[in-house]
Amino acid sequence: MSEIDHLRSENAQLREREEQLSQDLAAAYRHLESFTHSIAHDLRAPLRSIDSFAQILEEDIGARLDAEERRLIGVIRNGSRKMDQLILGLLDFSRAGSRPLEFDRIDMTAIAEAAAIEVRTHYSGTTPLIEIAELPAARGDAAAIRQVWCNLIGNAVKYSAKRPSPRITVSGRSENCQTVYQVEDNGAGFDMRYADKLFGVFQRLHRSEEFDGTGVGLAIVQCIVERHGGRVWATGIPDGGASVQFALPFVPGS
Amino acid sequence: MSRGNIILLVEDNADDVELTLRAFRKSKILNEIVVVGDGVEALDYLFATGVHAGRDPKSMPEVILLDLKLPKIGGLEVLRQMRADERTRRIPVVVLTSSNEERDILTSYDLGANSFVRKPVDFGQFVEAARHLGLYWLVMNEPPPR
Repeated sequence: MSEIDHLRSENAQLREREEQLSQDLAAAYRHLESFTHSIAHDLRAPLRSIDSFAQILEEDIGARLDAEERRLIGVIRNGSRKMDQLILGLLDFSRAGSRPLEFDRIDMTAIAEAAAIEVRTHYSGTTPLIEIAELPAARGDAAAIRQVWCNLIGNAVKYSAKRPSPRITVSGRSENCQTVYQVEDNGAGFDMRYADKLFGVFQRLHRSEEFDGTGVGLAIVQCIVERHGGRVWATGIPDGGASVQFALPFVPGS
Repeated sequence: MSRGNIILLVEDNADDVELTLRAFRKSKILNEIVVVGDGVEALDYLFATGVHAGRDPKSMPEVILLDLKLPKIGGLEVLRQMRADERTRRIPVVVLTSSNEERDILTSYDLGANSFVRKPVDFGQFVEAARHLGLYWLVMNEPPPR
């Protein structure tokens, strides 16, 4: 009898603990939301002042300045623009981690094709050939997974577009209770020694003079894939192309 | 580019006020621009109360540019109170703010905003946005009959 009482009391304690944890989680989520909201509003306002008034200065007295003085104003403006990109990147990253996910069956072929079209629309130069094979379906949040495809295909375009005959292939397969998807390009690639840095926020393996970017794209990919219970990894050869793969758990009936 | 009517700018950040006025000037928008610095003053202006008690309440702005993050009463609450009152229900409101939070955009439209524009960091883009806003809301758009 006392054994049962003991179990009952332990059970009640566990429930209480669970309740407390979910309250803490909700509070942490609200805190994060107001934090990102404040970053979006409050950090960007002074940045707008810096860039805009530097630009006004450039317009109003630029003609009277010598080359070095004009260059200095340019340095201020580049710095503020870069910071704006970083803030927006950070916001995207934090949204990728906190936005609630809605799980559904996803037609991966259709969504990868839509992402490729979106990348093409936003890319100013000639886009490389993008070949998309038939992909196994998955279960996940359609908007978030679309973001994964956009970032991966966007990266492949960015790092291969300057090559003589750029080529991107998107493929997928089912294996061992998971579906694996791959985006492969023959672009700039990367040194495998630095592979662990690839998915870190603001980590870049190329200088921004070579390839534009803030270094949040793959961090967002990793965040979304891990929230789906999956994983992501990459292989590359310097000047020999890169391949990024992600695996999602296979859900029966999906 | 003028129908002789007033633009009401609800904005608490002095730098942003200066930039907005400059952007309108550069875009040859010559309307009178009334600037109020918080939500309370915005409502006082619209309803001719408080510090604006002496104003002719029949003269309403042609368009309102509304920041969301304001001292005292926020922009969304200003919008809510405006839409709840017969006198200000139909005035076009353009939310002009730093935020691109989905939640702010949705709430603004739900409360009856006519447009949502994110303030660009780059002044050139700001001027361009001001030019478009002026052209659309002050020239192309047919205002509600008074």
